[in-house]
Amino acid sequence: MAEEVSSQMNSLSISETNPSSSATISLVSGDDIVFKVEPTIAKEMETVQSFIDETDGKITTIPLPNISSHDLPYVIEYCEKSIAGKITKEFEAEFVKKLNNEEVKELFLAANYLNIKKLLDFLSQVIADRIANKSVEYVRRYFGIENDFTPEEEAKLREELAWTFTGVDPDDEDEN
Amino acid sequence: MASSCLSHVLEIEKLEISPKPNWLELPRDITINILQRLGTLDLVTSASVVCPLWWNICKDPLIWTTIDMMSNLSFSQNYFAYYSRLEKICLYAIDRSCGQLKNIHFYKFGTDGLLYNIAKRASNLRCIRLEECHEISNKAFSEVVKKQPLLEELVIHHCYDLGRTMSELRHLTIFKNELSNDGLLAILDGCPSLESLDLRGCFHLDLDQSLLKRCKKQIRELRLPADSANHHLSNSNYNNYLHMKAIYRMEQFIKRF
Repeated sequence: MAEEVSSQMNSLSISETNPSSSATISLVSGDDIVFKVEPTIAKEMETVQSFIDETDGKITTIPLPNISSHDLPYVIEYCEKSIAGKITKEFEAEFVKKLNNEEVKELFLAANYLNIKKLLDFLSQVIADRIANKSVEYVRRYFGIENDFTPEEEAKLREELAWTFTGVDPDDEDEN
Repeated sequence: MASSCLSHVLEIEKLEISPKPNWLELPRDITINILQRLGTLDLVTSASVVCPLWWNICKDPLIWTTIDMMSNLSFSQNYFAYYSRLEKICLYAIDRSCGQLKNIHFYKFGTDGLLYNIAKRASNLRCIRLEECHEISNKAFSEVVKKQPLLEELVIHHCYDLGRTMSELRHLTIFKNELSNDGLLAILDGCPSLESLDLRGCFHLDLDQSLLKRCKKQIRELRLPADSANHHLSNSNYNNYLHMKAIYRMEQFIKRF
């Protein structure tokens, strides 16, 4: 009971005495680099914001062990643009030009982890564009997914797809 | 105070470390978010056969709410086999959507038979785009449209009869259509919710002052017949080549069986 009261008083006094400097949030990347950001940026990252909310704003240093110091600046850049309302097609095209496949995937996982809806939607489209018109083998390699269909499963899906692909031209007749 | 902060930090750290991100462990809706952005051909010939989990995810009708098919070929004898295959793939996708189909985008693709099939199985369409679909007749087009009470957007490139009520329609693009003044009036009367109307290339229209006034009064975003039209898909030949490759790969996959 006593503790609750004191924590309330504490958060009140912080917001009254020093509203601007108490506001800066430190994000700590997996490789221990600290990035200081404005609270508006943290708000874009739902995961970070909910940590802050849970502790009534007392915690302003947030460790993000899953995100490297290489990826975090990209995430922050996107959030800054998003707040400024400056996410344009041109910005997105430039943004994505800088990223190789590995970086796109890492950023996607970071956006998922931080729960940034807009960035996640944007990167979903980027990934979809990068696996468009590619073979199954390419898509498996892209995501590091093993082809672990059992022979029975594989036979079943071939059967399901076969009607779509056979029986339309003379080449197929000898097989039917 | 400091110690309580630290304990929070440690707790967070303990909970959240997961060193090896695995794509198959992502929440289902996150994977769906990526897959539903793929074109229909990619879904059928590639994504759905990646692994058992994705095969399973692709059973979700949500993946198939948009059907996006294009072919840059004329409907000629030479390409009949290729074309039939595309159509069968499209039917397969319609089947998978289980009546949840919302958007159709055909480019130089589609026949009356296919449209009658859609008319039978889809009644929740929000958007229909038919660009240069020369094989689709007015009758088949009307058959589909009249069964879509929720239709909000319509993009068509050729002369279809629109003289009917579409109360929910908000966006209409009629490209290089032989639309007449009477036809336009029928649209204005029949589509009270219309917000944008794109008439670029409809040179059969003779927009006099009163008709223009009527359009401007009702439509927030109006594009006139003579407005510039740089709308076309630029690399459709290349896409077409990739599509043929995808189909070839799928055939090889099935033949290995």
